[in-house]
Amino acid sequence: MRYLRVFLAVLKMQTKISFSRNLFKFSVLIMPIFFSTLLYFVYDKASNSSSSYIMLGSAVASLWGVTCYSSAIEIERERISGTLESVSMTPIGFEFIIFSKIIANTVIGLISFGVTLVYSSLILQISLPVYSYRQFVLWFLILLFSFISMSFLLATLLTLSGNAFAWMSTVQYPIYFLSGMLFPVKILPKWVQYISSVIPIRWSMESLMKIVSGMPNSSIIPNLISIILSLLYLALAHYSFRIIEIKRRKEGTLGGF
Amino acid sequence: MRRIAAFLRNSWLAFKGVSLWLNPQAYLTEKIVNPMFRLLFYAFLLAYGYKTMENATVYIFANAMLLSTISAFNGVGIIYFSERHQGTLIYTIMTPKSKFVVIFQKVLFHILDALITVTIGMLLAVVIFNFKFAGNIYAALLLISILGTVSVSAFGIFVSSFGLLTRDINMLLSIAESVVFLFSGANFPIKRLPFGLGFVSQILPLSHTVLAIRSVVRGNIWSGLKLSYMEIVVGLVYFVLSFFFIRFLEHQARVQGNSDLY
Amino acid sequence: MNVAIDIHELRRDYVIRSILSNKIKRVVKALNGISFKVKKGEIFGILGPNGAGKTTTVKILSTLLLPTSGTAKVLGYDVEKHPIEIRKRINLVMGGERNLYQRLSTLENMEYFAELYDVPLKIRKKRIYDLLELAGLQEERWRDKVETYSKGMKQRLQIARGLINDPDFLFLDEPTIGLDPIGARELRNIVKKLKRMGKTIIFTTHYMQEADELCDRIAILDKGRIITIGTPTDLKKMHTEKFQIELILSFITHEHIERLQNLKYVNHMRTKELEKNIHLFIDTQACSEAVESVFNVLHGIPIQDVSIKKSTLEDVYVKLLGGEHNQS
Repeated sequence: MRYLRVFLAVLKMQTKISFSRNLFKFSVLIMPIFFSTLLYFVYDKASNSSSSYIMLGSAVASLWGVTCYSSAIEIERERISGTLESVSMTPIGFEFIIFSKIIANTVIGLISFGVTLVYSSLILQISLPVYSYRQFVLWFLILLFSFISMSFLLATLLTLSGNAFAWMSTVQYPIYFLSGMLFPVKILPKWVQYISSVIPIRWSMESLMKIVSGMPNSSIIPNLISIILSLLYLALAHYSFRIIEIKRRKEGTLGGF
Repeated sequence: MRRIAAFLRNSWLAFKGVSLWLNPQAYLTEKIVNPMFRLLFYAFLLAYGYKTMENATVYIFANAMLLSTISAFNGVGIIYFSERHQGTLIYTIMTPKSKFVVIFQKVLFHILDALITVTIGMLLAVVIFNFKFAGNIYAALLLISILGTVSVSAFGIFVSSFGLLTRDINMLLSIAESVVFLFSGANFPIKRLPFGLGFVSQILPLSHTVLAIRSVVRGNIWSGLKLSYMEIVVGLVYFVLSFFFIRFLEHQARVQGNSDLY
Repeated sequence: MNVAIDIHELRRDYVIRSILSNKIKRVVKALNGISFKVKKGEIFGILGPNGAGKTTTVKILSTLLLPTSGTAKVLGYDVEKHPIEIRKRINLVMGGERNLYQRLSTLENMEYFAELYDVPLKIRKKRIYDLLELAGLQEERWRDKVETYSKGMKQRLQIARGLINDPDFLFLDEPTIGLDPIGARELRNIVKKLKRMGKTIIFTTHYMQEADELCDRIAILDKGRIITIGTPTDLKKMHTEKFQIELILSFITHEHIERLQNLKYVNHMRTKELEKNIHLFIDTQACSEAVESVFNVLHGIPIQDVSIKKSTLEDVYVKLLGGEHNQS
């Protein structure tokens, strides 16, 4: 109960802070149409898989853009605003607060997801057959789980790297093409495909694409892989967090300014 | 000779004074590593979209050309904003020297900077996708890239002057970058745009360069170079516009006094 | 011609418009018709509270702002008609840590501005070195980035930068703001050096002692008007008595107060109760006579402390700008 209250407080604060920045409003509400517009003009609209990428793929990409970008630099931002010290001193624990923030970012990211869907169907007139809504929603939740685990790991790793902002821009594009959001992973060179197979989002994405192309049954295995990888990521992130905490106390290196 | 050396030296200082890429590591990530990842991403996207490499080739090169927008917006585009931020804009305005020269000096090294990124991008495309062209095609591509980079940097300074009207420079820059990205024709033929939006691309930088690249890659070097001249005209117009816009802002600031130009 | 600045009936309004309808919300009269002249080689101080019009005056004179009406001439050139001619001959130094390229070194900053002012190549290097020396920046730091400098060093560099075009006329807008006492004193010494070099200087500050020490003449502005103008000595003579005697007593009677007020040499007197003691403030022109007669009257009352001070520019400032109501 207490955790839920803290989570709600974090969600409220995060939404308020985020939307007080014009740039954020812009990237949540306007930028999502970028990928679907681009793909709309580049891809052959007659094919079914193109429509899925234009609508669903772009929507997932915008969700990822908002979630990951804001989450990965979350700790860094706390440090810059000088609140890192006070937040990490609270009894509820710094890890839980960061985790809540990442979930909050994901919830905010859903707005971008929605914007892309509405834009694609109303303006671009793309239609997407969803064969089983119940399954789609379930699979989508698994995708969100993979997002959260990945963002959490990135947030901790980038913090350990000491230069989160720079690294964030560096991992942005590789994750786009490794995760198969906007085009299939199959077209990448073999050795790149191996790297992409350790990314949970890639498997979730594959499952979702299978649902909208009418192959719900073959979508179960990739999803299982996604869940296992996501759990692994969470464990890794938790462990990295311990290292951060210890490092911070010992060396004082991760403190505020 | 000493005059030219002093001019170049000063252009370098102007670049250094507002540039973010001072340490080699930051330069390497921002101007080489990240752009190359970005190029690879769009190259694969285009290769998938256009199904055959033959169709995608032109667009991949055009995307390498688009990497020049990184310097044009994140470098040139923030010049005035950053001058105001550190309080030096007032002296840029107060100098009795010709503003034309001052602005040109501020942009010069960003153009070279952009050219480095574009060249590396094109080389990467050649290596990864195994393109093979005749030597004169490479020469023509280089010339076209130079002209395109100059033009997009001129557009950058135009955008930069609008940076004096906003507190949210990043938003302005991402809008400018997205618009150029979508309307330049670097990813799909301009004629696919609805409602005569193709006209917009005519007056934006890089659209003529993209057409020029298309011609050259297909072997029509001369018609490609001709298209490139149009690009320079577009760039020049933006440069002149930005010059008058700054003059106008300066005048407004003197008359109204409530503009926070300084 | 000996006049560096000639301002006549200068007015400047700021029109504040509503963002939505563009209707005029209100007009702020920043300068309400000021006139004064500054002689060549003079240090002219402009004092006044925030919003009095100091910065507006400096901005108009440095061609950054146009007057609404009236004329302003700098070195014979009209600010409206010949801004470029003026810009060649003036420079502006502002207080604080901004206005420099933080990522460039001292030498690079100087070189850059030298180019902006078209300093001839032949003398450029020498001038830069001379100015940095004049400003007292240690040579071993000339190649360090400005962002690594202390406030005082940045301020020195600003002065050196402001002299790069060898201006006849220099505006110093609160140049000592935020400096420590030693830094501020060294900066004042530089300003004195500049005066000896024949520069005309307009100086704004909030520190009265500084203005008293540096300025040949001072104008005090309030609400866009000049309320007084003159040399520091004149201003003190005009607006205050020469001395103020302060006595601290354990008690005093009404009768004593009345007798003191009637004394010949006491021009003005007020009392104030502080920490169970009575403080007496007596303004006078003749110090020793006043002290003698006051002591006579107070015979028998224990005097805990006596101090005598000459009136300062601050007294003038406080008196003119209505600081009096703070005291009883």
